[in-house]
Amino acid sequence: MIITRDNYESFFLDYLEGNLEEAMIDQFLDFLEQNPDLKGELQLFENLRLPEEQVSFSGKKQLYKSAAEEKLKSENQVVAYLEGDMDDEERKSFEAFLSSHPDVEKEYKLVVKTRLIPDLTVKYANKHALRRQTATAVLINWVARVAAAVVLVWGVSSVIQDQKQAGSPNVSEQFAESAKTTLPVSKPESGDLVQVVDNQGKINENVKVEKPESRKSRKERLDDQKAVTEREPDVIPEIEPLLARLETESAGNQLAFSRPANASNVKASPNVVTLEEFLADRARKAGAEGLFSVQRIVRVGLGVAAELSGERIGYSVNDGKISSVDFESKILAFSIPLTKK
Amino acid sequence: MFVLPDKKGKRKSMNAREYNQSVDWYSDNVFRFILKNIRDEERARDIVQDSYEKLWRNAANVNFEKVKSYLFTTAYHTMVDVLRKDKRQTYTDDYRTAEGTHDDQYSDLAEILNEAVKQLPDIQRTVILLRDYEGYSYKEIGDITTLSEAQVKVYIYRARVFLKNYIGKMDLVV
Repeated sequence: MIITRDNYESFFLDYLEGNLEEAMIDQFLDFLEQNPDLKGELQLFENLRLPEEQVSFSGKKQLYKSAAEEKLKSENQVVAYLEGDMDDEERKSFEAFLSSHPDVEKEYKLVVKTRLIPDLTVKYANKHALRRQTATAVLINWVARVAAAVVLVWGVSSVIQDQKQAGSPNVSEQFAESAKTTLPVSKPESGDLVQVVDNQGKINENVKVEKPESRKSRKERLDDQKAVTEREPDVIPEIEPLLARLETESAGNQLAFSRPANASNVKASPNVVTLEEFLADRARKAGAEGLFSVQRIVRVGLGVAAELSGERIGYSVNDGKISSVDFESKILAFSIPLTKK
Repeated sequence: MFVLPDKKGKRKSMNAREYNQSVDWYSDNVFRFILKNIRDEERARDIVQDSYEKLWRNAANVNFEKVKSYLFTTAYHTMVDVLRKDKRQTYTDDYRTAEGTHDDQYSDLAEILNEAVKQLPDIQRTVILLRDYEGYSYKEIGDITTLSEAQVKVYIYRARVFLKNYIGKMDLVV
């Protein structure tokens, strides 16, 4: 290569650093002789040397690795192995390291024990409160509720209906029984003659009472009825059973029918009510009000209140309805009317 | 974040049946995770209930495949809010109790470990519970706790070393 004024710089650097080839040295010196200005520049390069500074790094201690840090590195490796953070090569290398270092292996066994295992007996108790119903389930639930309500209403109403229907005969039976027991004089003996009021209110006297147990066939009864009609046209041919009459006739007629002739004069005054009339009236009211009527419930409640208050609380009844509620004490007394005048 | 589009490009939202399934599958896990963190059964129940309430409100936007992550994320952040409100609790990584400074005698490793977990800093306890109880990856734990994967890894390593040192000392005591 020929040294020219265009490429002399790289030869200068090689010469100064001692890297110039020996074959080039003669050519290089000839070039300097031919170019004295560049020879002066070379002398400037020779004087250009940086002074050596005495600077040292003061944080060497921080870079030193202590035994503790060596241990930490070991721990991290153990944890990384446990957590599966090593690749295959690292894993194999570490397994080899473990087998040759019992102390590290002991550390590893301890780290394995740090795996937390959940206590499966701990459960969330209120899962049912978190659940939501699907649209189908909501629909089924509503249908079931409506069906249950319908069945309930039907059941209750049928029970009340049955009680209403059964109420009158039962009370009538009791009434008849009580009449037998409380008023023995009114019970006619077989063959006795009693006064009887027919459907038109006409009194028929001297009707012969037959024994209830002497039941006859329909034909026999028709024969008897025919015979009696021939003998006395105005007299009712047969006394029908009391229960049948009570079902079809008004209370007044029932009482008149069942009252014996010798007890008819008891009702001399219209204010006097016989036991039979009283019971019949109660039976009629019970049938009209129903078992769970508001009036009945209120009366029961007021009765309880009267008992608890020592009769300070009372109530007045007019036509079967509570007309007023009364309160009476030593310092205060008042009455609350409940019906319009 | 939790909703993935299906093949037709529509979002797959969660229905009531899937929601109820998530109750059956994950309510115990979420409850255990929160209970272990705050050690208050009543609050843990409230947090679980609150998380499921939020899930139900956002059911249209939550993919069933991501519901577990959603529940843990919601429960975790609810728990953090609760703890922040409660000034008696601290939630910093700086807090660390002295290792092995108690006089109790422990009968088995589970009790020792349980005590050690109590003494972990909260964030370390959280990440290691998610790791061991639920088997979540660093990334999944990072998503739940809004930490980077590197942070999660560091916390898990520190927790493991703490637990290892604790049970190591207890082994010597026992």
